Amino acid sequence: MGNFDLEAIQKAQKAKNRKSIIKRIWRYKWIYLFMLLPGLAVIIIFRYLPLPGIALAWKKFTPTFGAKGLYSYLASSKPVGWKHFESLWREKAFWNATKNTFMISILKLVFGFPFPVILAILINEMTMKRYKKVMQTIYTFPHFLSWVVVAGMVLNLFGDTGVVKSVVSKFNPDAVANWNFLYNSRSFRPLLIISDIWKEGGWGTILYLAAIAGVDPSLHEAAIVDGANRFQRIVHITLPEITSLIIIMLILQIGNMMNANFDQIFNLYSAPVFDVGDVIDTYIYRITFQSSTAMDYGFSTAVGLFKNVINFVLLIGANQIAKLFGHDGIM
Amino acid sequence: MKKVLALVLAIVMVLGLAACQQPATPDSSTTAATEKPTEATEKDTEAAPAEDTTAAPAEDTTAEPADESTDEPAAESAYDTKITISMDVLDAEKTNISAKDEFFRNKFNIDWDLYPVTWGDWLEKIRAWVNADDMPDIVWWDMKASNTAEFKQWAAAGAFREIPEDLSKWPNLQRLRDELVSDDALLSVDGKLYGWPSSRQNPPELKNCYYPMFAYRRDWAKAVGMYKEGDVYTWDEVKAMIDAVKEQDPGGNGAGNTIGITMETWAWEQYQLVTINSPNPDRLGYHKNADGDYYLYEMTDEFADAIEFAQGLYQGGYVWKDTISDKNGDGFQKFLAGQSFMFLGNDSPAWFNGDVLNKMVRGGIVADDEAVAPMIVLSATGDHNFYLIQSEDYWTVASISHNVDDEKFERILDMWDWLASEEGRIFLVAGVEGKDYEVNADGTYNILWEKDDTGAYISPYQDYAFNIYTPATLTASPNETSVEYGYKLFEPIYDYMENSGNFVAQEMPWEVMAWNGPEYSEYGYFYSDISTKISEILASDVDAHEAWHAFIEENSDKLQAVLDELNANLK
Repeated sequence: MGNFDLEAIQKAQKAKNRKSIIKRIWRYKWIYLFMLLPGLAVIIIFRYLPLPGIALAWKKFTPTFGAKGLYSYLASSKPVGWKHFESLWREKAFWNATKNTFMISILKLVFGFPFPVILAILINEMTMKRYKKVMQTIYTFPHFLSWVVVAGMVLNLFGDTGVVKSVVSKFNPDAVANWNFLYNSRSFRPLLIISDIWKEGGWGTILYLAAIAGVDPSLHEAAIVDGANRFQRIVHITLPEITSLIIIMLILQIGNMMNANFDQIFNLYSAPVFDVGDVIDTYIYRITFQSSTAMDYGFSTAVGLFKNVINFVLLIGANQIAKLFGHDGIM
Repeated sequence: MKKVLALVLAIVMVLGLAACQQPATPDSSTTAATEKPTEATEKDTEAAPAEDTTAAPAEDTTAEPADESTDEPAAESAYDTKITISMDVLDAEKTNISAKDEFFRNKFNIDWDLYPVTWGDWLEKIRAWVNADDMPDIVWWDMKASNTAEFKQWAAAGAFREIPEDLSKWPNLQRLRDELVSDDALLSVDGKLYGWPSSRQNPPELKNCYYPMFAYRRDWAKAVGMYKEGDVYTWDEVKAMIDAVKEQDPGGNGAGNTIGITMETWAWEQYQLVTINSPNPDRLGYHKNADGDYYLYEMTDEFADAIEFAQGLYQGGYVWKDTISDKNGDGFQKFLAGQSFMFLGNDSPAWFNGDVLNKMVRGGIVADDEAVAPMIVLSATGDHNFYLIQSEDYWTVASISHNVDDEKFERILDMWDWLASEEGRIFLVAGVEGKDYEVNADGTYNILWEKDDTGAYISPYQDYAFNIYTPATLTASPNETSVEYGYKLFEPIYDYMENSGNFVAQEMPWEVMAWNGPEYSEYGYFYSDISTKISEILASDVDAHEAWHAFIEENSDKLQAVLDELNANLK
């Protein structure tokens, strides 16, 4: 037998596979293009076509009736310069919402982000396959409940006539004399973080479990031979192997910081906790749809634009920081 | 095979998008089914004073369904062309399915294209539809006087067709137009009318007042020995009763488990717990002081006193604490289920005839029809009066889209005119002649419905409250099919309102409500902000006066701008 160059053979095989895939895609290009259409249409209709509406941030919205054209309201709405942004600057509720958005997102990042990683590693370390699957299902299930349902559960658990109060009153009646868990500024944010982790933690493990499954088993085999225990293998093999994914997820979460989960907060909050729970999205919703006076789309657009600019800056910033530390980033 | 499967999947994905598009003439029952009116129970009673829901006894559920296959006299139409009219409706899944509906459709040769709304999303949807110029032919909404500025902006921009000044062709509408105050004050721009108010047709003794008042468990008050003949109480007596009821548990809920006061979601949002205790008749919005200058009543010390009192009720455990987050009418259900002593809501005779009679009396929650009653609670501060808030003389407004052509426009007005006639009134109250009623020789009506054990009519149209016919006018109550129960319960209340010097009806400040200046349009009377702040204060142990004054101070610039505008223009 001649020299056996395994690396060269693997490279050639990979190149061949790649070529074959490209060839196949090219061959069925019309089907692929056809399948792209719905997604493309959704993005164009809901992400790009509304973009000119941003101009409303500098206008006083005036509806038009009978005028044809998608953006006829832009022509009828008179320019007001930076008025909406100046109002926004003076609006205490807006700054309160901005502060809360950051605070809640940071708390979720600090307490919520590591949870799926830890849970995925723990699930991966389980040896009984059936038990592992049952646990994974139990952890994942809450993701499929809507926040309306979860909010109802929270109310029934922690409300004035809730289960928790009833149970506590059996042991310590004095403790429930002034029961106020849901409408209390001190308990609202922890409630948000815990309910978010409970609902989404299990779902978040799926990506990490997939990444862990892709770790080369020979690394673990070699470490076992070298005498590494389970914890050492987690720290020195599993975690480093999924670091890229963790960084990507972290960047995406930082880039999404200004979205503090409208559904969750809208269904759980109430006026007494606005000072700690009102975020930009709920603020926009209230001023746009629940105002007792006429709607001001211009002001709402200015608030939304402000939020998205911050999100964009955070995304780019996080990506650059990741690159500075030698990771791939997302761009 | 793979190719075929891929192609099928791609087609399914592309066609899936088509589901997002609204069909030109959607099947009303199909579109309605997708949208459950989750909040209907929350406000079902809101317009009840003048509605024909009073004819809905408990046994209604056993009534024969009035479907289209029912053999009833068909109406002959005077119209050659069939047209489709679109309109937003509550309870859309229950609308346009009965024999009565079929009669009406045939009579006017129309089809309905229904846009479902719920109590919770009604205003949001109307705002989105109108602003996007994507509204139904009939834009029907729960417009309050506080929405006037927004309505006038839409009308001035050309959203709606003008209701003709000359209504001689529609004499019944002309009669209502002559009677109403709101149409000129709130719904006209430059002397042209753009919305049709559905007249409440309230009895004069009600002085167009709203019913945000208490219902209570009279049987529990008797059981704890604190019942007072006439059902008129002070707050001290109410608090003592709640304490006694919680302790003695006459309802068998378990010691300490009975709730003192529950209320409608809107009652909390509209801070009724505060306003019901304000000592001044000028309790809401802008009023003139002795010098003729405008002021906002909510900025006065008297109002802060009322907030402090309400905070004491909440913090003292007299009010169900989860009222704050109650979005599904749970407080209402708790009262019906016998878990709370008092209920603050739209507790009108119709409400008693509907929910209380059906669910509590006939449902076996209470022993007899004397056990639950309306209750007068005198104001906690000041002169201890009984206040009711005077409201608009209509409930809901309907406008006709600018897209509607002349033929459809006239058909709509024809429909409304007929519904406002005597023939239309008995149609709304009973239904179809020959099937639901007969006309006696003396011109009175003989209702053909079956009766239950108590002698009340069993209506085949029990889910007929707020729908396609409401925009024309509400019907005066009581009427030929009304149940007596609720009206009997209210006799002492009406008597008190007519004869007691302690009853005060807050007059509607029409002039301010109709004003459409830029500052007033932008801020109104700060209702949302005030509501939020009051909730915040009630749920906390802060000093109510201090917190309220700080809030007024924070908003003083905006408030002053509105006051300046009102003083400059309306003084």
